[in-house]
Amino acid sequence: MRRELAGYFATPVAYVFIVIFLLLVNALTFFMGHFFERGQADLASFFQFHAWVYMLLIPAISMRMWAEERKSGTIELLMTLPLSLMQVVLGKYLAAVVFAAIALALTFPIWITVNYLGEPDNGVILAGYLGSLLMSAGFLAVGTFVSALTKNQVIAFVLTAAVCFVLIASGAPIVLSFFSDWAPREVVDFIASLSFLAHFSAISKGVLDIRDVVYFVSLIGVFLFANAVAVERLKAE
Amino acid sequence: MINALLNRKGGWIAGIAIAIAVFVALNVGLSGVTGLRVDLTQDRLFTLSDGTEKILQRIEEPVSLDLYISQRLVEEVALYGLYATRVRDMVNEFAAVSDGMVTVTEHDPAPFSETEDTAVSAGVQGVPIDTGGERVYFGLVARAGDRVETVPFFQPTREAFLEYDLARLIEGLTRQRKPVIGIVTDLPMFGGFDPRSQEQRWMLIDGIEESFEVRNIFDIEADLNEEIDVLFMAHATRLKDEQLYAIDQFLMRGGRALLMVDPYSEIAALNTLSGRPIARDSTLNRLLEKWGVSIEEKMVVSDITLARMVNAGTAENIRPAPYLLWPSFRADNINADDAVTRDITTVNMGTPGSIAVADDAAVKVETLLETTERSQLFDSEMINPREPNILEFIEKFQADDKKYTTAVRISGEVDSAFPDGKPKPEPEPEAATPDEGQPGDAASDEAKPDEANPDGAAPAETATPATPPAEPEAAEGEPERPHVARSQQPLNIVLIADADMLETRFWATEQEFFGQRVLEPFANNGDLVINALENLTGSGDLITLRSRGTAQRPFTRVEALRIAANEQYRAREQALATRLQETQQKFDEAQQKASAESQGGAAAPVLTAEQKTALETELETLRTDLLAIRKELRDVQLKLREDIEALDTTLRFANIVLVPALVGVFAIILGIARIRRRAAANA
Repeated sequence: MRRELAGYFATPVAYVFIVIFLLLVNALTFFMGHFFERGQADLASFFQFHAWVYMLLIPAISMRMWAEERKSGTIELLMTLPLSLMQVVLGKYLAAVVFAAIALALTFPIWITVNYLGEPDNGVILAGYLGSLLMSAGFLAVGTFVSALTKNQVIAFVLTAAVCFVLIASGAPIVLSFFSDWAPREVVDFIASLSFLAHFSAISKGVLDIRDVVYFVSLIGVFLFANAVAVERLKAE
Repeated sequence: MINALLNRKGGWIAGIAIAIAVFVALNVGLSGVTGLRVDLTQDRLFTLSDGTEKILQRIEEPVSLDLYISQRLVEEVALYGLYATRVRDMVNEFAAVSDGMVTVTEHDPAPFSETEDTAVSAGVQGVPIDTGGERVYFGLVARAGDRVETVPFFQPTREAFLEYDLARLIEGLTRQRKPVIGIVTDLPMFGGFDPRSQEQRWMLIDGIEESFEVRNIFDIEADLNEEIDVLFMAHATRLKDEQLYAIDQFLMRGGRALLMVDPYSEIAALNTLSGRPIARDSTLNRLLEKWGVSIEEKMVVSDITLARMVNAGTAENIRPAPYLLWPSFRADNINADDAVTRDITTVNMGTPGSIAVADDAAVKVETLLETTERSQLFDSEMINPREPNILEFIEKFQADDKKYTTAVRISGEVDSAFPDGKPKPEPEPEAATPDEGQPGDAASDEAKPDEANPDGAAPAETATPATPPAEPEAAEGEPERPHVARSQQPLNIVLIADADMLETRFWATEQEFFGQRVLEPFANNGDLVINALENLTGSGDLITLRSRGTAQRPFTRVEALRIAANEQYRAREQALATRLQETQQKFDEAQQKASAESQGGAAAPVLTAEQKTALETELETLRTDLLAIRKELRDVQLKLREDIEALDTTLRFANIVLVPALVGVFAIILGIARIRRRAAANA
């Protein structure tokens, strides 16, 4: 994992990613979220864009995780290491999560800003950061799985972004109305409950509910498992 | 094991299917689980208090809540958007805790839709959002069986009491009957006792009757029973030991009470002529002292900062002066955290007393109203009841540098003030000596209210007959109740050291409106009484609810900047505005002159050519002046915002540019270092 993490910072990609992430999130907060004009000492206008920024940027981190190894053939080398399959999958994944966490942590000036401007509820802000991290971890799990399916990084990027979009939008009224005409209520409710946004906004209000946490953790588990299966299939081929 | 499964043909499909099945089962299974969570908010905004939970768990009949929130309001007014989320969360929390007894449906009443009609007919208030006449809604309709309660419009200013308001609404909805208020008073609240007198029933009683059943209690010993939810004592004077004992036992059995004890009743003082004298002072110290609370007898509070302005001269020669004994409590002197005083902005009192609490008091006492430090106690003997000696009090005033409390909430468990049980009855009233030796109006001592009350003067809704033969009834019908030595439930009492504040003239003007009496309140005395009664009739769980934190957290620094900038520029702005007005006026005059001249009407003064040019130049200079002043004014207004905008720009820069730039610089330095190292290694 450490090797993977060091790998991120060895290339300019990591810095480009972090710079773009910070620029995008903060610019959206101030210009589209009207952070200052709202006059409220909270980070609602900051967190509201995270899902969308992640949808755009997370696939960029995750696309190369397996696709590159497959293309360059280093995957065979990786498999010869004295590590179990799960260890390799987890190692790669955790490195990506830590990287995303570092990027997220670098948004700390907005936290200082809001504490300078007023007296925010720092418990809510902490919850927001936790939720955001869980959400990025969820997207990364999706991305690393998709990356294991293809040799082509571009395909991995586009596919991941598409799946992330579905996961974000599944709670949106447009999607729900598509199902609500024919599917039973329970199914519609379940589809709605798949939405990253719904779970994230519940957490970012300041409440860490077991349902929201389990949702993210179990989603990550499923995708990592699928990831391991996909890699295993590669080996079999 | 996993590997074995996966290596089998088609095993990986099964593996993934199982993983997805586990995922679905886990999430669907957990979807009904509520309450397993950590509330990270500072004020525990998402955790209902125990009181609310108990109220919700007691519900026996399903309650449906219809929340009407106009999306347009939420989107266009940020303040309401934030509050709507808060209300929605709170209502859903109620539903989650109630084990399915409370259901919530949210509606967005579009203009001219059926939903809008339903909302309006249920009493939800529409508020125009633009000049187009479109109305927006932000209210709640609660239904249980055929009972309906409505919150017409959620006001963000009441956010701290949102939980209390909703819990109260639900509790009221699930209650089967109106709570009963038993009023014991010597004041002519129910109208004059003398049929010839013109005294009308006090408007306050009408207000109370809107939400409660009111009983005028004449015979404390017989009528103060379990049916009474709240005992309201408003200046009940000369209470005999047996009566005090009945009150004590009522309170020991868990009764709640609003006690108004007045060391100097102005009404009584004025009333001596009207044939039914009332004792000037009332006291319950015999009971209160046992708990560690007392109201100093015959001493009244004065306060020079809170004093109301009155006319100290005559009708012809008006001389405004502060009447120190008439404090008007506002903002800082009203406890904003208690549900009773929450929305109260002004309370006017007349010669109130001061409530003292002993250090070793057995009860918990919370201040509701208190004076400033510029206050002093006066002996009520100093008051001239015929002609208020307003100026004399100002002359003699010397601040004690001490705050006096005039209203409190008392709670806790106490021992009976009558440890030996029921006191022996006193000798027959005819032979009784005035127990506290009140000088002057001793005649009133024996005037038992029920004897003085003629048939028909009693209010129609009073359940007790106007002149009940109470004594025999009590003897026959009810066996003696066992003595209660210690409170069976904690006390819940609001104690106010003034009763004059009930009188309409202290808080409202009465108007005749097509034969109807209409009140125009100028103080919240009536609200205070009704709030107290509402709060006390609620269950103990409701009473324990206090104000909560708010989700509104403004940028305090920006506010401070705004205020500072305002102070700095306001004076200049005002001066400029005045100058602008003056110049405008001059300009208009000059222009009028000029236009009159040009019309050349007969009435217009004929000007010489020189005068005409002079006028024109004057007009021209004025016009330039006007423009200059306007510009200056705009500049000043601009400056008002400048500091705030500068702060905004700095923060934008720091957040959007600074950190990414630092990261970039760091990356570049690192990159250069790496290239050098590599070059060094190659060399």
